[in-house]
Amino acid sequence: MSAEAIATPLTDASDRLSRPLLRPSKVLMWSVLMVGGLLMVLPFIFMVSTSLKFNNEIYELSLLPKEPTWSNYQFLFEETRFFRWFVNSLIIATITTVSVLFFDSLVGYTLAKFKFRGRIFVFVAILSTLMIPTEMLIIPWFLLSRDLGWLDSYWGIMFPGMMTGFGTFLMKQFFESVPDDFLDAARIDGLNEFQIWWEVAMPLVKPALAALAIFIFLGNWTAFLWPLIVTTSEDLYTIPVGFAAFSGEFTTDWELIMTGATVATLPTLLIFIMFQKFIIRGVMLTGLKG
Amino acid sequence: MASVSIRKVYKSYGKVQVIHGLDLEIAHNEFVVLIGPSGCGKSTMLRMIAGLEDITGGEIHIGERVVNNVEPKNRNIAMVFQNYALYPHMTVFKNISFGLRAAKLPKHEVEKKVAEAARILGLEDLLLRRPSELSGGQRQRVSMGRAIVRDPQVFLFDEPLSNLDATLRHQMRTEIKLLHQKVATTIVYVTHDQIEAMTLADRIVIMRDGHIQQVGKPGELYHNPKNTFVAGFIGSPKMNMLPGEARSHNGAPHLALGEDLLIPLPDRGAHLREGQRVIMGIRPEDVVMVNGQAPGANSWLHDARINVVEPLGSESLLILELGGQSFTGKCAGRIEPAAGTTAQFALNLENMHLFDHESEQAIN
Repeated sequence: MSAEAIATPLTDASDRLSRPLLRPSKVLMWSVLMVGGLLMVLPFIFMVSTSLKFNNEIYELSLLPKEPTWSNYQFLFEETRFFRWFVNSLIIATITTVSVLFFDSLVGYTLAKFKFRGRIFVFVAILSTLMIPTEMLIIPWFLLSRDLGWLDSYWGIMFPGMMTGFGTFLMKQFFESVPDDFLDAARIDGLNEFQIWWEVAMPLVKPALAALAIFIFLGNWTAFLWPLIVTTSEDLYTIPVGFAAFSGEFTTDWELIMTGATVATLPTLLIFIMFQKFIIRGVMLTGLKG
Repeated sequence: MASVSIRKVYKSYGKVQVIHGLDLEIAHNEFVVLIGPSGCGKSTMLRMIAGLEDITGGEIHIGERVVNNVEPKNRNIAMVFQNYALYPHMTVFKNISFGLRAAKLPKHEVEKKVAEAARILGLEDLLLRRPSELSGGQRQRVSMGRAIVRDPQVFLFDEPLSNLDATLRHQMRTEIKLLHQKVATTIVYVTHDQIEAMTLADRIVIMRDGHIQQVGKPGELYHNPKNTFVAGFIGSPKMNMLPGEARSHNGAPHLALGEDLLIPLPDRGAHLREGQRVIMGIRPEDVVMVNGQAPGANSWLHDARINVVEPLGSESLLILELGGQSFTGKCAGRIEPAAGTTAQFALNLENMHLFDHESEQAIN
């Protein structure tokens, strides 16, 4: 074997050694991402940790409770109306979500697939509602609820969110991507327009429906301002409104708020894990966030 | 089975008229192909027969019935779409039976009809698959299956093969032709592919800008085109079309093409006025390289320079310069002439077409 032949593998090996395993740009990127990730997850960890602390320990910023306790959970479920609020939130978020899915997709489908006079005007009008902040609508909503006797009722909490401009827009965009031939084929197959929407068009936009369902559910689950204003009796409180009651003028029961928040996070966390890819797809496709 | 009768049908979108008083009689059991370039109104016409587009004026009859205001589902038609329009969330069985189930047919009858359609189209093994698990050709067959089970009076095909590759397209063409033989039904078929039209149709309807240009059997359209549009549209490679003018030479009628080329006119052209401007049409197969064998009796011989050779195997297409004019000609595949050489060509003047320069209509 010649000297050259032996030298070749050695050069290869030294090449490999001289190539840095950790390039500075990669180190920097991962560091930034880790710090960012930690910053995001820290409040969550702190929330869970605080829910396991005794009252006298809550202002200590340790991440691990000295004497972990379930007493806050026990108190929350036994001494407060938390379970009722949880059920209220569940009812309201579920009904609102179903309603939004039904009506927004119906309107979105109509705007996407039918040509009629005033179609663009209707669409722009719906779209323009996206530009009005909720805070501006609170007073008109309140006056309307008062006049129609909807104050302090489930319907009062739900009615502003039963249809959304955002959802209509999202569904319209998705339905536009459904080829007309599918609908024509169904027309020839003998379905009426409502059946075509329900049996042919809706299954084709399932990813959009899933994304919209998650947005709307989470939005209603965490809604605070309107439910606070429209409800007066404690039996109708939703979770965020109920929590506000833990915060008094002089003291705030942080450990209880954190305990409730931990429990309240579970459904959203569950939904997010289950439908993660749909949420990301929904955001990507519309360029909007819920 | 039923005839389709289109009488003075107009279609407008707002102020724009796209179909201008179209008349067409389709006999029962006939295979009619509507063909034309994009935007000629052929798909709109088909959609009007299907009832998917309103008719602005005129009448469409299917069988004895005027169907202008009849819903698509009640017209007793079935349609096959370009992109197959198979519901992706349903299996092949459900796709085929969708219309039957919508019509609330008893289950055993649905199963019987689907089984029969699957047998005709060779889909028996695919009934439980979803469209995404099928090839293009299989999807198109499912789409035809969905049409067959409806047992329609009229089949409508809207460019059903344009999404398939060349091999599959050829295969499916044969299948559609076989289908027409098995399930004897009136078929209206839209395409922009003239080979599809020629091979499938009993009669071809050539459309342009919402008008019918010519209706006839494939051979009729090929050999006797009524105008330059039909002449240019049917046939591949295209007919050679060259402007010229009638001129008397040595006492006989001739056609002068450019400065240098004088071609004797067949008897058909004898009545042309001196100096009358015409367009001469001659198909590439009538411009043939002589290469030793005796040319036909009515051939006119001339030397031409071969600029480009396009071998196709059985024959070669030759782009020629003949008397200062550009022609497409042919020679047998085995001859293999070299580009840049000169050879003698025989033009079969009996098959020459003459069109009026202004109206572009054929001169008989």
